[in-house]
Amino acid sequence: MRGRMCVPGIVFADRESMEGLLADDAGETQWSALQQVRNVATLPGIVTASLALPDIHPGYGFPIGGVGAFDAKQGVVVVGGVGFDINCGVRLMSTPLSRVDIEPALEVLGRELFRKIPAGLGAEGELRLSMGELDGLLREGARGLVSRGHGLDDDLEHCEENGRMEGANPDAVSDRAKQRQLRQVGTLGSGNHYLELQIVEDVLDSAAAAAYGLHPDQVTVSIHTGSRALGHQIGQDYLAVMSRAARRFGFETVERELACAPIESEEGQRYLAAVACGANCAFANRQAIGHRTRQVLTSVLGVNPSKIRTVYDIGHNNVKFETHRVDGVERRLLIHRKGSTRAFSPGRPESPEAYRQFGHPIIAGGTMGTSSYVLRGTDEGMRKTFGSGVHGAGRALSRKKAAKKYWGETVISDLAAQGIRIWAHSPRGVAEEAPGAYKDIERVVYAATAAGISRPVARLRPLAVIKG
Amino acid sequence: MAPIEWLDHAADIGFRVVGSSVDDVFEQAARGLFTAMVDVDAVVPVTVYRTQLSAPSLEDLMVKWLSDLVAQKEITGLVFGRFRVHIEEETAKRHRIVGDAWGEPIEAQRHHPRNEVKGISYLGLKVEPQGGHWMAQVIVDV
Repeated sequence: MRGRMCVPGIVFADRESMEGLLADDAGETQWSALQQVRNVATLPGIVTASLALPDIHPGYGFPIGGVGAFDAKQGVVVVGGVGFDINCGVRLMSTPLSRVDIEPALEVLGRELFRKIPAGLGAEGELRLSMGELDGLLREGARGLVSRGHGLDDDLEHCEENGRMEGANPDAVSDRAKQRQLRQVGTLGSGNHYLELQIVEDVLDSAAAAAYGLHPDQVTVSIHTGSRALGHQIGQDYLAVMSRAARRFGFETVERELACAPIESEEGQRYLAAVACGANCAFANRQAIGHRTRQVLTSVLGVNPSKIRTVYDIGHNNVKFETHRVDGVERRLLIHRKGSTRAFSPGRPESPEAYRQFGHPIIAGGTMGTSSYVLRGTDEGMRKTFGSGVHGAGRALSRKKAAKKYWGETVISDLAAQGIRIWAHSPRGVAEEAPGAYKDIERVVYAATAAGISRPVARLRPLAVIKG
Repeated sequence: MAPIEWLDHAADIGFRVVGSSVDDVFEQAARGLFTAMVDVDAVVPVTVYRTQLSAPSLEDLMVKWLSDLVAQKEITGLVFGRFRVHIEEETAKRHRIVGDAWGEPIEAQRHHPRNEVKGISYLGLKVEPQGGHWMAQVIVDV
């Protein structure tokens, strides 16, 4: 395999994580994230290196935490570089509340959010759309919902891509994908998706935090979800299309999920148009849930809705054309980020104007028992990772091992003793998502900071968690 | 019925099932898929869903069969607990499945929801004869 690598593989990780990755690679488990880094390095048109960030773990095709940049003319677009949950991401919202405002009402608030935010297997969204209306949402993203009264214009100002990816063509998405999504608009899902009420526990970069509207002891809300069934069906449909294209173009892909096509080919262009629909579906989904959360906070605590602001909404499974300086030359590249966020340094025009001096916020989700981080990008990160950052803690234990080691009810009571309330549809899901099943977010953030690719701005501690 | 063997996959769910024939291993895999999602023994076979699919290999056919059931669950709100499959070689390079799945609308109180499976992966996928039986290994995305 090494002989077929077109570029090196570069992994940013601390010593302990690296030892684990090397052990897996030596055959201690069936799945090797390092092998996936090597596999990505074999793809046509890849530029500089196949990269992986400190939250790396095995994925499909690309590792989770993987980044691949491809020349916009000579390169390929890769299904496994986007993943199935297209534009899965996190929306962070700030509130005018502090801990003392929320603690007496936490029980009522958590219960009401659990009741009003559809989550878990079989949950259905309240928005009932026709196929035509769904097409509109796939074109318009979060903007499509704000124009229907589900949110504020200010929300869009603080979304990556202003909540709408250009180039979306609903005709590139199968009817089956749309049918699967009809019941799921505005649903949280299950697995590692969540809605968290948090407290700003620590501000680590006061100037950037002030620009983002964050201050100590402030209550925030994080929503982690994606494009739900639609994104998955797009991935499944295009895996077949791109496999055929790869054969036609004579590409030998070493893993099925690395199916790819030249960016400028008909298949590549159509896939990108479908991915933009998936991304818009995810933006709309977080918009719907964010708006519903705002309504619940208003009804339970009487908060002025306009004071509940979207700090930022950023995806961590996506593919985008961006301009980067490579060996001193500006190049247009197609950047795949699988389990990795965009993390642009100060000054880039893609960041909202109010944040431009610091760069847009990066949101790295923790676990239901550990902190999440807001970080920001650096010039060094632009050079080393094409402006990419960590997306979360990253799993350390398999779901099977976690379910064997932890008991859902015990996790819930242990966390309650630490002042963290959990509302969950599936106790087994809680066991699988136990804090101990994840890497230590502190180490992940430390590794990203030590590598110079991002800087921590604020640490957010969970107070209440809604799980599917 | 051989038990489902759950695999240690880092982020998602994997399982291995054994069947006495190709048909049986496809039925067992569908059972594994829905066991990851609900208590399949609690699913009452009220409604039957029939599907016919074809693919160039048994592995591809497995992904199509299970993906079709996942999609059906989301489109109709049904969960399935009983399966009957017939597979034949359509041509030397194409396998065809006629599959029936029995189930009912999901009801959280009775079906005890677990994980929501969103897709079927090709990672580590196997459908192969093994010591007079058939074995299937599947990783599902949750």
